[in-house]
Parts: sequence; C-alpha cells; structure tokens
Amino acid sequence: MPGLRRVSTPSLLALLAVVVVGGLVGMSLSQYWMYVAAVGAAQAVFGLSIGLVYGQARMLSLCQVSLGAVGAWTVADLSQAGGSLPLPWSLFVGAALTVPLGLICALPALRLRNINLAIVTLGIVVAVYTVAQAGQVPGSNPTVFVAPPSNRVLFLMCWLSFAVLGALTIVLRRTKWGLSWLAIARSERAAASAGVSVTLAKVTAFAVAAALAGWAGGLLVATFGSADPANFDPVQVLTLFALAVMMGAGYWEGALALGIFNAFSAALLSQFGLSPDIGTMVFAVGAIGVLGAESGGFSGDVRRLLRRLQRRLGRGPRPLPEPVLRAAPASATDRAARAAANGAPVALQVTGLTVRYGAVVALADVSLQVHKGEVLGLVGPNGAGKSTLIDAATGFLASYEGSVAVDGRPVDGLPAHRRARMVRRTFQTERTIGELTPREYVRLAAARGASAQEIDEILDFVGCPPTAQTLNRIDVRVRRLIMIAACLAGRPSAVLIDEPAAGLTTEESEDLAARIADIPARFGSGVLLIEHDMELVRQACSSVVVLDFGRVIAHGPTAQVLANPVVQAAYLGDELLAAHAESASEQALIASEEREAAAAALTTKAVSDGR
Amino acid sequence: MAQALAGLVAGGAYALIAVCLVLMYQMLGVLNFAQSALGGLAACTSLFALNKLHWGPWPATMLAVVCGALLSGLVGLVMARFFLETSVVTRSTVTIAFLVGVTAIGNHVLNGATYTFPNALSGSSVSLFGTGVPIGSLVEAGGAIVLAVLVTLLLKRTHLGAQLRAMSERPTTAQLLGIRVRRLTVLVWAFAGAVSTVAVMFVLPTSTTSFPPLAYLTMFALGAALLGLLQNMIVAAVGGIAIGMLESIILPSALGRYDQAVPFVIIIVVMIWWRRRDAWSEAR
Repeated sequence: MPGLRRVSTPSLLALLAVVVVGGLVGMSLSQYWMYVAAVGAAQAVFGLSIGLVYGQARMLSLCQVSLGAVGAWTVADLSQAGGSLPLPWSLFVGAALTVPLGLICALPALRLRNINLAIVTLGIVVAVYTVAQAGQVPGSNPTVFVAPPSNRVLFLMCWLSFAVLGALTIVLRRTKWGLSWLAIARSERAAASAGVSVTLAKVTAFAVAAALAGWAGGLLVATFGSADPANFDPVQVLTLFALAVMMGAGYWEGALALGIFNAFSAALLSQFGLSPDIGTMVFAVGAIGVLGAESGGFSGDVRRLLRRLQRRLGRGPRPLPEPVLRAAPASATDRAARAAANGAPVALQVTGLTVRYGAVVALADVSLQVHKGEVLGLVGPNGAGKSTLIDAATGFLASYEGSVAVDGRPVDGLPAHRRARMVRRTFQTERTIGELTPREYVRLAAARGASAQEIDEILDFVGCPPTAQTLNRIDVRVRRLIMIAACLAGRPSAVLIDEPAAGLTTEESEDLAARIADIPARFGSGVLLIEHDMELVRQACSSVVVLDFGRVIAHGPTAQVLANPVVQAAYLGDELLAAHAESASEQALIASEEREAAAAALTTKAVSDGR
Repeated sequence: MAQALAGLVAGGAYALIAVCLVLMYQMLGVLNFAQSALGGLAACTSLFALNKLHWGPWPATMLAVVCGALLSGLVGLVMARFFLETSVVTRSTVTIAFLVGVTAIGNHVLNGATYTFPNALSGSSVSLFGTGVPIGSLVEAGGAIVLAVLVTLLLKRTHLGAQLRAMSERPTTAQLLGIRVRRLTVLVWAFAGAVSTVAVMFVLPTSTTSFPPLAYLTMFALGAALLGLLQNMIVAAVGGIAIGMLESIILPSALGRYDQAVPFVIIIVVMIWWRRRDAWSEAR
C-alpha cells in the first residue's frame, strides 16, 4: 500500500466546488440533457484512466478505453434482467475484473515504450473490438439488456463516480505510487536510482487505470442499457485518446472537460441536425494544435491561468532567493584524509570489474575502494569508463564481470532500485521532476521514515532555501544540487556523484567543493566524485583514481596523483591532440605512444604497490 | 490453396501500406497511423467521379491517386511546418489525431450509403493451382513486392536515396548541408499517400461501404511492417501478403470469428521479442 503523505488541498477543494456546482446544474437540467451529462461524466472517468497512464506516467497506451470493455461486459452480465447483482454493486466487480487485463497490458509496457507501446496497445484495441463484435463473451452481446435507472439516479451515479474517482487521483498523486508515476515519466534511470521500482510503478499505474476504465465501462452499460460494441470501436477509442491529448487529461479538470465536451458536442450537433463527425473533426484539429503548441491542453491552460492570477494577487510561491555561496573548504580535505587514515570501513568495494560493449572493452579489471568518511575522485579523459563504472556499481548494466560490494555485502544480483538503498548516484544531465517542489522530490527519493525536518536540513545542506516553487521554475544549477540532496536523503553508504560542476562559475564550483567535502562528516557515507574540473577535485577529494581506456593508471593522494606527469599527459591527452590536430599528427602519434608506455609503467607500479 | 489465394486482395493491400509505413518510419521518423485513412479518403473521390461525373474506372482511379498524393502531401506540409523538430512520439501521436479527423470526414462523406466502386482490373482472372485468381489481386501483390524492392534500391543506390537517409538520421544537419528537408518530407508523404490510395482502391470493391474498415487497414499492415522490424520493406511486403492469406485460411475455421486478431498476435509477439533487452528508457 502506498503511504499517504500529504493531500493537495487546493485541488480537492476545487474539485469539490466543481462537483457541487456541476451537480446542482445537472440536477436542474431537463431529462434529455441530464442523460447527456451522465454520459459525459462516465466518459470523464475514461479520461481519468487515460490521464493517469498517458498524462502522468507518460506511457503511450492507446487501449485504456478498450480495457473498459471488461467492466462493461461484467456489469451487463451481472445486472441484466434476472441477473445476480444489481447495478451500483456490479460496478465494483466490473472494475475489479478489469485489473487483471490491465496487468496483462503492463507486461509489454515493461519493455516497450513510446511508439512501440502504442503499436501493441493498438493491437489490444482491435483485439477487444473483435471480441466485442463476436459477442461470445458473457455480457458482450448487445442484446443483453440492463434496465437503466431513472435519468436522475443515472446522473447522480455517474457524477458522484467522477467526483470520488477524481478525488482519488488527486490523493494518489501525492503518494509514493503517484510520485513514482511522475518519476518514470521523467526518466526511468533516475527513478530507479532514487530507489523507485520502475516495474512496480508501471504495474500500479496500469492496475489503477484499468480499475478506472472498468468502472467507466460499467457506467456506459448503465447509460446505454447494454454493452454496445460501438463504444469500443477503434476509431471511437482513438477519438477519446485525441480528446485526452487536447484536454490534458492528466489532471482531473482535463478529464472532466473530455467527457463533457464529447457528450455535449455530439448532443448539440444532433439537436441541430448535424453529424457528430463534425465534433470529432474539431477534436482532431484541437489535438494537433495542442501537440504543436506543447501547451498541455485545456488543463495546462487552466493551471497556467491560475498561476498567473496567483502572481497578480501576490499569492504565488515566491521566487527562489539566490543561494548563499559558502567560503572555500577549510579543513574538509584534512578531515577526510584523517578518516581514511584511521582505517574507516569500506563503503564501496569494486573488485575486478570488466565491462564489454561488443568488441569494445569499456572497463578492464578495475578495482577500487571508497572508504566511509572520504571523498575519492575518479578522473580520466572522456570515454575512459568513469560513467560506465558508476552504471555497473549502481545496477544499470545488464551484465559485467567482477563484483561490487557495499558495506562488505555483494550487491551484484540486486536490481538498481534495490541497490539504491545502499549506493546512490547522480546523473551528468539534470533529471529532477519538474512538476514537484524540491521537498516533494527529495521526499520521493528519501529513505523510509525520513522526517520533514530531516528533508529540510538536507536541502539546506546543499544550499537550497525552502521554497514552494516547483523544480521546473528553479534554475538548473540549483536543480543539480537538489539532485545531490535527493541522493543523500536515501542515506546510502556510498554516494556516486557524476560531473556535478559542469557549467558552474569558479565561485560556484568552490562552493560545491566545500559541500561535497562535507558530505562524509555530515552523512557518514563515502563519496566517489567524477569530475573534469581539477580545481574542484583538488578541493574536495582526499585521494584520486585515474582511469584511462578502461584501466586504472594511477591511485593515491590527490596532490601527488594530479602532479604526476603521466596522469597529466593521459588526462590532457585529448585536448592537446585536438589543439594540435591540424599541424602535428606525428607528434600526436609520439604522444600517444609515450602515454601508453607510461600508463603501462604506472599500472605495474600500482600493482607492485599492493593496491 | 484456393482459400489462401482469396486472401491475396487484402494481403496485397496490407503489403503496400506496410511498405509505406516502413518508408515513412525510416525516412521521416513517424509511424503514420493515418496511412490508409488518408488513402481511403482520397479513394472516395473516385466514387464521385464514377457515380456523379460518370467517368470510366481508369480515369476515376487516376483521379483518386492524384488526390491521395495531394491530400497526404498536405498533411506532410503540416508535419514539415510544425513538427519537424519534435520527437517520434509526438509526430506519431499527431497522426493518430489525423486518423481520427480523416475518419470523421470519411464517415461523413460515405454516410452509410451504397456505392459502386471503380474496379479497373475487374473481369479477367488466371488459373492458379486449379482455381481462378483475379488478375487484379496478382498485380496488387506482385506490385507490392516490386515496389518494396524498387524503393529499397532507390534508397541505397541513388542520390535522392542518400539525401533521404541523411535527412532521416539528422534533419537539422541535413538542412545545413543544403538538403531541402521540408520539400523532401512533403514528397515522401505525397508518395506514400498515392501508394496507399492504390492499396485502398484494390480493396474497395470487396469491402463494405463504410469508412472505418479502410482506416483499420493500417493496423493490419502494422503487423506486416513489424515483421520487417519497421526496417525491411521487402520482408514487410511479403509479410503483408502472408498475413492476408493466413486470415483467409482461418476465416472458415472455428477461429474465423476472430480472424482479425491474427495480425495483432503477431504484433505483440514480435514487439516483445524485438525489445526484450530494453530494460531502460534511455541510453544513459
């Protein structure tokens, strides 16, 4: 079960207001329009289902409406004349029986994404339609008739269904499940590295969305009196999908707009003797417009408008104050050095790590140790295998030779999200989740039982002042720091930080060095820092490992290693070669030969040093 | 065998559309869900020419093909103008919207009435394995394979092919190299539109006068396109023909009610096998 963290009160209040006003308006409508509103509310529940999978988790599943067929068939079979279960109750069974089909759809989604998932789910759409037309499954035959309740009861049933299920989606957004859906939408790797199980996130998203679709399918049977195969006609299903895009069904108001627009446009057009196809053409153009403008559809517009209004009234979240830069680290390096010298336990142990990509050997028999209390620098030219080492250690490679142990326990068999409890990483590219505030984002990544105060303290540690701004409104430098904060909030034994200083000014880089150097003392973990900024490495790291062409060519105290001419040659090799490329290809050849010879000599030395 | 050969009409159409799908996916990075819908809408113009203007079947067919190229080219223009720099997902989602819109127009135009369709190759048939096979379906199925071979050769051997391949890899870089990306985009769309119109024209006389089945041809063709892993047009063409024949064989059996599900079983199996190693969404 997802643990409830915090409920989004403004959204719930807005939904409540719309439900009350809409309910009063609906009840005062004529019988015909009340019926139309009921159909609209039922379709809005389909909108919630599409919105969850496509809008929130960003999985391009086209089959959400088709899943509702199971709910429809169940309700038709159970509640038909002389059936075993009367109407409102059969909806629960219908929703529950839809979940297994949703889980079956989640299976391909574990490997298929984007357009590939769209193809497979479109296959499911056609398959469901074929079954619906055949009419062999119990309840699927349109002649199975369910006596519909009065229009008033029907409207209340559909409207309250939307209200309750809409509220459910709002509440779910703030739970671990809801946050995990946003996380996989942003980046599956980043989600796993924050301890989120990508598999669980996808499975829960499909399961909840299937239950919503099953409920909506049942409601459609209540409104139409039978499970009409036309409801699951592929074009009908895709029309609702296009509408979901146009309305931005990821938020409840978008889902509601989808249902209301769809039902009322068809009814209005037919009142004027026009074909509902005209409405569909408008939806198609609208969806293309929304995709072209990347505006997030109706709900995106509503939310932008509200934000602007808030700002106008001076009630919006205040812009983030400039973070205060710290002075250069004073004793951090010494402290770390002392910790290592005192024989602190090993946080991360990599032994004989070899990684091959086809014929290319990315890492060849690499071994290193990160002690608790130290910041170990990992440097080397581009393509040396630094990030591959992090990928292997944190569980992002399909296979490698050698072993990785954290706190003395091997983690080789564990998937990435499980390793994240012990060893965490950041990414070179910024991969925070734009829709969340820094607090929410760090809470998502935090270890179980992390208190709000703890989270604020960690944010303060990386220099992010408290703010209600969402991350997409915060500048990228601070977001990268927050990525480190999220990493620390998982209380890992080892923290692997991948090129955090890209694009920083000298002052900012010094500030970052001070904070990184403080991590071991403050959090008790060992830090492995990949960085090209040698000044930062000098300031933050007590010792350094140098990789070149997938091999360790040097290892030792920072100053000593960085002063080594061989290391300098290896490290600067690429840039020197580039600088002299047009004039001195011969020199380059000599340089690289020298480099290889030196590297060989140094490796021998390292081995003989008993590293 | 007679049963299998009866599937040539549908199979040939799947094959032609599958070739278009692969071509567009490879060259333009878009999975065109509206492929046969666009062809179907263009094919509707032939009804007008045949029934209202009393043109012969050949001119009516020609008109439809020209309209197919123009209509699809127009969509290509929209894509080139507004969606050149977007992701494959966005572009393909746009074609879903086009599918929905074009189907709505198609429904509106056909409106459930019954029409006579032009059948330029009707009447003659040849004897194969002891059964009469209409020449039309042989021309169609053979044409699909020839088309696949020709387009494959064109892409591999000609300057235009090289430009198209460059464009598919890096549209912006290709533009900087002086390749007229927008014009080529429209050209590929127009070509695919013309071919899909031909495909639909072949199926029209055997199908009912309702529009959605024409739009669904794309979904069946997808199964074929996937057999070629969205890369190989020749495999896609042969696969399309095979799927059509398989459907036709299944039809009289106990599973006949579900014959349309066949391509989708293929789709799901091929997709999952193809992507079985994709544990993560992004490379790094």
